[in-house]
Amino acid sequence: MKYFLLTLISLIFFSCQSKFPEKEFVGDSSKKIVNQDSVSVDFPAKYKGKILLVSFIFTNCPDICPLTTHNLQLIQKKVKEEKLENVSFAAISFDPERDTPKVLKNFAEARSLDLSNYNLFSGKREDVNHLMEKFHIVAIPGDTTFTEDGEPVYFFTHTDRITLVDQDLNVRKSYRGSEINLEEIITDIKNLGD
Amino acid sequence: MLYFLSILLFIFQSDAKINIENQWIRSASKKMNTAFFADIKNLSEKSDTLYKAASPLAKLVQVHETFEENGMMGMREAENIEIKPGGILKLKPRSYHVMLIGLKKDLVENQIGEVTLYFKHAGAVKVKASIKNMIQ
Repeated sequence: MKYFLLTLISLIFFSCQSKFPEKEFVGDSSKKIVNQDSVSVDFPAKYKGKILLVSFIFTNCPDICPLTTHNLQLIQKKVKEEKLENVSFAAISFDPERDTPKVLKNFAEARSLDLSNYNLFSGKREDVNHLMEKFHIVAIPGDTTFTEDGEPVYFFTHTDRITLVDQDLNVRKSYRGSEINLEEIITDIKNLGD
Repeated sequence: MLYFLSILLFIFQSDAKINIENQWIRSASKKMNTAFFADIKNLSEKSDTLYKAASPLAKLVQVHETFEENGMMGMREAENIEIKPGGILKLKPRSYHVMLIGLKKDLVENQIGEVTLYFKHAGAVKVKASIKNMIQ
């Protein structure tokens, strides 16, 4: 009987662990950043009590970040279809000098984003850097070239990730941002919601 | 004489056939960057090379490739992409693409944009592409 109970407890422990390999508290690192409507938000503290999916992007990215943005849209759509409540979405720009709230707003319109529970954020460079560090995101600017009229052009080599944060502001899982397994993410959201 | 030149031109072109299919451009706002994607088939019997692209839609146009290194994603300019005889070069997300840098106007879904691809043998190939939000 003792062995049976031990086995049962171990099974429960390991099955819970395998669902969410990470548990890193990020609630102690909030910074004030601004969304596409210039509304200041304490991030990630504002999302306490919610399940949050967050990505880090830059809007001048022509390939990877639009895919990540689109994938968050797909998750958002599925969450609505399945009537999962209390789920929010955020994308923080690691290029805040160019990605002003106005630029973020235009980006949202061009991509037809549903902003009811999806925010795009910019902020002070030091605050964005702090959040990037906390979420283990790296973005390295490449060489700058110039257009004919002298406008600088540069891109980033960057982490490609969507991060799942639970209701207590713990990072619970990370996924590739530009290629997702939608069912896996929806299952994880459901597991956190239980 | 004109007839003779036409025959010559036909012979020259028949050796350098490029067929472009499934072309599209991702929607984006004015001043931003986006990408052109397509399947480029080399129907000729010798290799051809994509070495340049141009478009009136953007201030700067480059052929790029997306790469993954140490878990990070980046882009770099791709020079001289060879397409083998009968081969297909797929310009697609997370891979080779034509970068449209500094858009001169909003590119909205269902509009049409024009891109010219330059090949060493086939020369300039102009193609019209639909603007789309996303294809996956």
